[in-house]
Amino acid sequence: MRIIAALHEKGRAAYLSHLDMQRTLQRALRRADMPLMYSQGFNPHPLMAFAGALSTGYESEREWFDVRLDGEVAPAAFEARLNAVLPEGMAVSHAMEAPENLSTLTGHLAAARYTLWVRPEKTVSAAEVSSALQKLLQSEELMVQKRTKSGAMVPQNIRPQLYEARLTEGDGASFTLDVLGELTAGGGLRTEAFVNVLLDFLGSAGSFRCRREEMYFDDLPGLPCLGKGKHE
Amino acid sequence: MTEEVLTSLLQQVEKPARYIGGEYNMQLKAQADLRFALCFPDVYEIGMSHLGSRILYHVLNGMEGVRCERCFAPWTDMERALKAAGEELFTLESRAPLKSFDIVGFSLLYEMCYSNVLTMLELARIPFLARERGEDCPLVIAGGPCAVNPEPIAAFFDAIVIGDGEEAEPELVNAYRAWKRAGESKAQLLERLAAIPGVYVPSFYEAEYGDSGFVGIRRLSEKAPEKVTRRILKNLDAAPFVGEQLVPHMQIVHDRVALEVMRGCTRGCRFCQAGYIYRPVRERSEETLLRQAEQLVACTGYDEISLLSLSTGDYSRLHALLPEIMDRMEKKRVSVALPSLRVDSLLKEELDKMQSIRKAGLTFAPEAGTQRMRDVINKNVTEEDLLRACSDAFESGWNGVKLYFMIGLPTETDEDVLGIAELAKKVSRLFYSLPKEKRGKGLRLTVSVSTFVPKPHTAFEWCAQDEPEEIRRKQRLLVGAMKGVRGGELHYHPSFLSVLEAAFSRGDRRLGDVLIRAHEKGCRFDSWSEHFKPDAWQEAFRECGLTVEEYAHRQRSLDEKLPWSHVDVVVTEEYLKKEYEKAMAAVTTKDCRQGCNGCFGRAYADYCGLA
Repeated sequence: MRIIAALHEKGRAAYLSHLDMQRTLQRALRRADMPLMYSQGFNPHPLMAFAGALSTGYESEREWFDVRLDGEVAPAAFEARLNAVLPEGMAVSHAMEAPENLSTLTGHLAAARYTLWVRPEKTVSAAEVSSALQKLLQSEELMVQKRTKSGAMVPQNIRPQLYEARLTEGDGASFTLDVLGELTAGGGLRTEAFVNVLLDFLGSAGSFRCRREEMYFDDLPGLPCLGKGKHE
Repeated sequence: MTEEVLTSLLQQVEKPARYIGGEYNMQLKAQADLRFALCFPDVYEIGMSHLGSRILYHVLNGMEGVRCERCFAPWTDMERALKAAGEELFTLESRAPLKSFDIVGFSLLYEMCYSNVLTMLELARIPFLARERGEDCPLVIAGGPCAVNPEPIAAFFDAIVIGDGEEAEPELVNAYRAWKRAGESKAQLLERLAAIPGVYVPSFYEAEYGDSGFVGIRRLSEKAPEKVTRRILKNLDAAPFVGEQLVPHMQIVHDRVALEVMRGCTRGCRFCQAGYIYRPVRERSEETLLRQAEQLVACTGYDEISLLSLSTGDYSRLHALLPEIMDRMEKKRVSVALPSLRVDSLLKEELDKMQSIRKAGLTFAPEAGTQRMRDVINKNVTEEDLLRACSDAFESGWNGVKLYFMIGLPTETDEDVLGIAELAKKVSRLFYSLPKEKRGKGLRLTVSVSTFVPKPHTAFEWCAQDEPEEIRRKQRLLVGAMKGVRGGELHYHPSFLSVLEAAFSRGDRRLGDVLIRAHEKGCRFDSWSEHFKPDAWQEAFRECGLTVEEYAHRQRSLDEKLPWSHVDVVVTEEYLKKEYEKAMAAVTTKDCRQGCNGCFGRAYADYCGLA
């Protein structure tokens, strides 16, 4: 059977790299004595995959993953057994049996919602942030520099990947954003690039923290979905 | 440390996972009357791979009312970030500053991490010198194999544990608690500590120097023993092990379950400090090992287990243990690694089985290229042993073999150096002489050549180390000779680091000042080539009126007083002298499993089960 579930990663767990996270989940699955299925070859590894990679330093409310089991485990038991052996800051939820025809979760991935806590170096009022967001959303192009695999910098327009952005809190010293953007196997909205564009627009440097709140999928019953045509 | 400060620090470093803690099986007791900071003067990936620290973490946290937390040397990016933020070095568990602990204890695994001890003390805002630390400072202690010559670092520590820590550390902790309850002065604490067997309190001794350097050590207090005798854990089978082994998030150097099958080694290689200072050999029973293996795999989720010891092939029940443990582990999809097999103890059957689970490189350590040289160092393996082991390995499908050698050994000639390439050539020919269907694709033969460093408490403790010029000449000789070896690849290292290592391993107390100078000149992470500053070290020696050459390259006479002579590691000086003389005559000494060689002398003969 195949199980889909969501892994919650908060606090210290945010600082794990994607590879660390894979290793940590695999070991937890082994501690939970799950009947794992393994890949072939010299270095067999459990058949387990996250839908997407999460940047180091980002928290996540739900990182969806799937795992193949050589035997039946009820989703509720899967959650309970795994949660008993996960390290601090991690927990699984929303376990369900995967649809028969699922190839990969990544193939269905469409978008993600983020909370961004931004701390600009200079004081920025809530009104200024709101108006900046409005302007950014109205423009057709938001150009950033992107580093390619070869290390060269190339211009990139991130506006098509930005679906929604709104201010939820702001007190001058810091502000909080709710952002929805594209997330697919091929890439998606780089939240870091978006924050930099916004801070540039506000004329300030600054730092930020990020939490992925939800991931959205197309054509996968039971998983969060934005609804067809909404962002096309 | 606040969440916000920590976040900002973590955002400035390349590998934040080094500093976050929170690993599975981490211990954080709510109630504790004694807090112990277990420090390792290298980065997390290395420190977390150290079995001794893991055992102590388990032992100390197993004591009622004791909370043991970890702290590793911050990489230079974190050091910069801490300094810029005005923050102190903190532990992983509770993120408390080191200075707030009762006891700060360092594990000293190799001399080239001494500079990091100073970096850590500086970042903790704890004065370097024990005599400058007030009553409000934590007790700063050390242990580990480097402690057998504690002199170069004596000034920095209040007390140093020599030998096995499983029993000595709890005794030390209890002595500290009794002292705290009694409300006595720090001087009284040191007296209590000096009374514990195996604990060295440097301030109770004074080194004396003459025109030619070190002449002797004088005891200043009746409360301290004349000689500090190494602590020896008698019963390893009943001793605590790592218990619930921590499972790091990030990949560490030895990222697997470590199962210590025995401690000590009976081979008697004359260059090997571990071979002398972990005597006698003590084994765990098969039943204990199988039980611990299952327990460790279950509580960690690791998919690899390593049977650890100085020479696992010599474990007396290996033939019975291996098939059983492999069988049990295979069912759980756990592979079994044997890290320190000797060429003469290899077993073809086991190799075949290991190959079926996971393919990794095989490593052999002939140490020297000619039989004469191997006799000098008492590495009792023959060329035949090595070739047979390689042939078994190749026929089982292995095609990666690593051979470890040393150059600069006492009495070494060019013929011995070239013998290394000769041996490599024979291994290569052996591989390519096998029919294609009986061997793997292409040979990967790594020949790794390190520079011999004479160590205290070994048969070579009096020997001069080859000078860098001579080492470079020998390396060049080898590079030329290795050219025709098909599939062969030569690895060797620049030699000044081993010169420094030689100086510090046999140094005296005057090197404490050198360390402080070197620290001021920015020396840290010396064993990391990108940070190693040979010129700064040379300057530091010069400014202290010393030379690194005097320490590293001088031949000592057998009747000279050595700076570590007040440390009794239980192997007698007479025995070492006898071994030295046999070495010079290229006469071997038999494995002590074949009969006692009398290394412990009369006083401790009953410590060894083989005697």
